[in-house]
Amino acid sequence: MQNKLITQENLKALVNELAASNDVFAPKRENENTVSFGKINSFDEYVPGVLLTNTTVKDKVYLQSEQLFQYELKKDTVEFKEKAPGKEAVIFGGRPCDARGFDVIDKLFNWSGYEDGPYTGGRKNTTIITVSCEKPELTCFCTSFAGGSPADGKGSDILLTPVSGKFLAEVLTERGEKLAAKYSKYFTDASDAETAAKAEFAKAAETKITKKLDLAAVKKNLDSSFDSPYWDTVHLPCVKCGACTYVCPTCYCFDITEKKFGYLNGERNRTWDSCMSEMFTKMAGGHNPRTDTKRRFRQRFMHKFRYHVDNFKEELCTGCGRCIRRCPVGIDIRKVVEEAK
Amino acid sequence: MEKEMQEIAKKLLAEKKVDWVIGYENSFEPGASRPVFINKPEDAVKLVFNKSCVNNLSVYLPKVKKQKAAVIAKGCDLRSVREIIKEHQILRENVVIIGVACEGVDSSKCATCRENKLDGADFTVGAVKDLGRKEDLSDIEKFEKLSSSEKEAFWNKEFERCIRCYACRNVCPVCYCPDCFANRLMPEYLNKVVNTAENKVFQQIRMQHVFGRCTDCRACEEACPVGIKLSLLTKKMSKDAKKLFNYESGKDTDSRPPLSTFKVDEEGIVEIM
Repeated sequence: MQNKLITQENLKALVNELAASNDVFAPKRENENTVSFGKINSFDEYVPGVLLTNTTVKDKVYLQSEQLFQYELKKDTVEFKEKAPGKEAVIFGGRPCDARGFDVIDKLFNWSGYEDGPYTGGRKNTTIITVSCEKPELTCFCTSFAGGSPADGKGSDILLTPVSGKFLAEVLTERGEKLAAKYSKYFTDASDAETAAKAEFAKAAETKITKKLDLAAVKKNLDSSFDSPYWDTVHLPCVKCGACTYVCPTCYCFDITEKKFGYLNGERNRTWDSCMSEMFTKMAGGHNPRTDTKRRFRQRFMHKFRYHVDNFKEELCTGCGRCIRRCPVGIDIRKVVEEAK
Repeated sequence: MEKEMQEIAKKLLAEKKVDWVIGYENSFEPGASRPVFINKPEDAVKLVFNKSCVNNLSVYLPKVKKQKAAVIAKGCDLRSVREIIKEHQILRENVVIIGVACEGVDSSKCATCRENKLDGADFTVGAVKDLGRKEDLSDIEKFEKLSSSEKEAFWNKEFERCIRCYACRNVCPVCYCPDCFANRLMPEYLNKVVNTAENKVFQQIRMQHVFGRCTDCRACEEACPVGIKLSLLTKKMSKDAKKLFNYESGKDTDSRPPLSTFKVDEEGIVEIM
């Protein structure tokens, strides 16, 4: 689809109109130091300048806790009740690294012909409108990854980039086209000059990212460092909470638990789990192959930059830097994987 | 001051008095720092101390208790060190305390700090000044006046955000249990499902467990990735421990935490039944 243009006022009107009939999630202020993706009822609740919301946007599609079904034991049978599919939703104002996270975990939840119902159901219902970043932060390293850029549209349905006081809207998917067609009154066609201005914007933003990982070297070093004494000491400052994994746009591990309401009925839930937690690998018989904190710490980095690359030919990371920012002890994923040998 | 700290650390490591020095190093951005473990004398130059050194490093001491460690401690951190010595989580002789004269870091607790004295430290770096700051309980008193339903509405809004990463628990110097109730499956005290109700149960039980042991160091609030106002709870607990049991956590290394002992007639408690 041809690139579109939308003015500040029209964007506001569009979001307001979307919010009237859909769930619109956008960066929203929770308190003086917290901005997270929350449901907004009008454009005014949206906090535009924020690059890194406190939490990840993935929980709007891949819920932190999700009921898979309810069951009730009848006389001769068990009755199952599956959850009704969710409402149409729009994620507005996320960043390219947030949207790329969906692109990365889409492949996992649709791996070798298996489709994960609850995830893909939510994904099909959700339109993602992303905003390019003008001023990347010191924690940003999205350009390390193939195609990664502060103005990259992978995973987004529509990518908005500020161009000469307006936004250039790149409509990238069928879902995006549907939305742009439905609300065509707010968009005008963009000229070639405006499309060129976007390329300039991307170039300028990319040069502001100061850290770039040499991923080939990282992979090579991780391939040979599983038993390295490096891991004996590097994990020591880590307190093994799960903050990094729960704010990550690509961490997808989960646990399945039951909750009983009575003797005959209950529900089965899926909840995010974290490789940093001791319980994550604890087995029914009580054995735990990853009891010590060093092994748990190593797993996170090995998974992201080695195992996932072996399986999916891409890193399980989009370079958003949220884990660096939210880590209570300032552990820097870039430093950990770069220095591993 | 940093130079002095580095010299002490270097000497301790070179003379093999300690296996580790736990301090702060520069982080990824100017003016930011993070905890660091140093075991080579030549690495002691990494140590820094500035306004960003918020972390309470005493949380690491029970984790390295089989080895000897020196720890950089501000006055407030020193309270936690004393508390965990009292609770037998570390042996005093295995810890070298390098106290730093602190005039405040970037933390909510510093505006009312009266704890920058370094009593009991093995080394002191810098000169401790009287900061002349006063206790301020006005936020707690204001909160106490709210009705139950107003309080509940407030906490529901806070714990709706909780992602149960357990950062609050894991950075807490007095949350050292190797087997936390939150991880227990048989019996299951806490369901794994993350929702406001379960999140509140988690924090309620944690707070009960640290009552009369919590030094209101604010490590939990600083660590919370979603900015939950945990200091309202920790400050209230400190206030109540003082009022009910005339007890201040971390003041010394030999008194008994109030809930680990029993008196038939507690002076601060009025029985209503």
